[in-house]
Amino acid sequence: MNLPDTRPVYGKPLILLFILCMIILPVSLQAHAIDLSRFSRTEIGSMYFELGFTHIIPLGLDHILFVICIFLLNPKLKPVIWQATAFTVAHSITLGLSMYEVIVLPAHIVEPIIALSIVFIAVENMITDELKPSRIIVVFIFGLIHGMGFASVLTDLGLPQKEFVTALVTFNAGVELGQIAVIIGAWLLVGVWFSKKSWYHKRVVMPISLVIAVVALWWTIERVFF
Amino acid sequence: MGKKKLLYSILFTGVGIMLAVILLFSKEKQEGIPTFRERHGSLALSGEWLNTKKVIEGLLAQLRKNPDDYKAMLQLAQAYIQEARITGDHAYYDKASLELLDRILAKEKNNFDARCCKATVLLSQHHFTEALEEAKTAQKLNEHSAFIYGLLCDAQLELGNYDEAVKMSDKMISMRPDIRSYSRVSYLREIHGDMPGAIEAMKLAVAAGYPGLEQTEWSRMILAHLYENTGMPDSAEQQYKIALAERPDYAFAVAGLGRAARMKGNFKEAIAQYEKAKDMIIEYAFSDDLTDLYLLNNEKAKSAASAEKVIAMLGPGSDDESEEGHGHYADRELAYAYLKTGNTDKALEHALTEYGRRPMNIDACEALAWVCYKRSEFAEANKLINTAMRTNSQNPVLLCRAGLIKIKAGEQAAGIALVKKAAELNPFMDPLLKKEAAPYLASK
Repeated sequence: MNLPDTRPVYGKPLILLFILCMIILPVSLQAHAIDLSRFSRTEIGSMYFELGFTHIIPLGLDHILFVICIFLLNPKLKPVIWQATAFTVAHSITLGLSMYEVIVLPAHIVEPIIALSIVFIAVENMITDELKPSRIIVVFIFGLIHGMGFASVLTDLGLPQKEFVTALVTFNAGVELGQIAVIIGAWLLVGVWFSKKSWYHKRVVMPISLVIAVVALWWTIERVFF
Repeated sequence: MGKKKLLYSILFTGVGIMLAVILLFSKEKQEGIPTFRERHGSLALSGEWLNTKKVIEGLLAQLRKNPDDYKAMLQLAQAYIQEARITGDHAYYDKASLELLDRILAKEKNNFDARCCKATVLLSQHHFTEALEEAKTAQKLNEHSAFIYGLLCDAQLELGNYDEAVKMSDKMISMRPDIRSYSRVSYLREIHGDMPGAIEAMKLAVAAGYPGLEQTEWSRMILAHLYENTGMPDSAEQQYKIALAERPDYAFAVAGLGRAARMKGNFKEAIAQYEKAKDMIIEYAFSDDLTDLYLLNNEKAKSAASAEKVIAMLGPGSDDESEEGHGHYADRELAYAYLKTGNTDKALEHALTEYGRRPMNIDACEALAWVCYKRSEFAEANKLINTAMRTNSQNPVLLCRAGLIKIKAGEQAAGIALVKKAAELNPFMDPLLKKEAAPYLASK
């Protein structure tokens, strides 16, 4: 028996608006030209911590969607922590290596792959409802790519020569806090209420992942061709 | 299970194809090359502009053909730096040249010339600490360039590290005695109170430059200022006239004639000259001086309007570091501009910002001290003015302000002596400041 469609009539326009916002928002991220070296270590630390945080919330919509995808499949504490840790370790490695110019991958390659990584995770969420150990490896690999994306942003922002390590560490810490905030937000909005429902995967994971996959696919195309 | 495997196969294949597409087709996005702005008025009529324009257009054409021609890109950035000096349009050209230089440095991070040019632009934008870092990076690439020591000297000087600035200047002049090194020696002598030495060095700078070139005539303007500050207005006026003969319609020389007229008390003539200069190039200082001149000429409404115009020219975009703002720090200038409108709160805000950036710089200390004085915070002003005077600068305006501050701070004798010394060094000092000091000039 088919269940009646009880969605309110404004559901579709809202989804379209949501998709439109997600497509447009990342474009608004702009680099600034600030005289960095006049600041003290504490000021640099707090400034880069804030920059790291704001690079996730509200500017890093692609990273937000990636973290949401990670969270969605199995919104329980243990698996989320495992995946988030893998992601954190991975992006910290490449962020550090990129900033020290040990690895150099151009932004026009990194950025579309970041978008593609979201497509992958979102589609996988639709294919399966169980969290396999291989997911952690996949998240780790994508984390490596996201780290290079963070490095690209940090390079654009500029790092003070004197407080290079402070800026690097505090930026990363800000990114982490941003990610934790996203996870907590997602848990409060979705996890608490629906994660134990029998229809959780079908009615929550599937539609949200579908929207995210479409948006991320568009970003991938946009970042390659436009 | 079979269906899931199939879906996973499709997913991996799709992602693999997309990955291949990314690696094959994703190209670095080339942004447009910032173009030049047409000159207007008398600046557009000179033969120099025709040649410059031709060169810039040629470079733009080269870059359209080959966007990776970093040699042409550097030349274009240099041309824009020069255009900023000539037209006063720093807001546009500094940003344009920085864009080009960052593009070069993203590909060739060890490009010495690009690093030097970037430091030059950062100095122009008053981003002194950042300019110092950039210059130090350039120094590591080439220790044998005199030019880099000039940049290091400028940055250290602006940050108030005067001993270090002297070392850099000495190094520069020992490597290459030319207009640039003599100019720096002159300024360092000036702020250390050696006015005859400063004039001597600036004369050498002018003599080392090719007459008529902007850099040479700019040095001549500094020489004229030195004459003004040592009570020799006739010598100053002569320099302005020479500059105009060598470089007709040089706005700073026209304004110089205005200053000469002001010293003679001919405010109408001074206003006419300044208004002429103001129409030639974008330069807030002309409007700033006009604010005082209108007041001296009893044109209060015009003076108020001019003061507001200065603030509009300097801010709010001036301290805006975003893409929309032009990224110039102009807080010291804004502090003085707000004082003229009577808004001491805003003046304090900007003076403190400038002081926060370079607390050891004598000009930043002087500005904050003067704002504190205007707010009747005399003890604080006195502390700051002592820091401002620590190099023993004999600038009459500084001495006069210091004297007034000290009088109000309770150091009556020292204050009056300073005020008198200022008037003695330059009897033709700013009439508004002189008016403020008048009661003490008459005292014994």
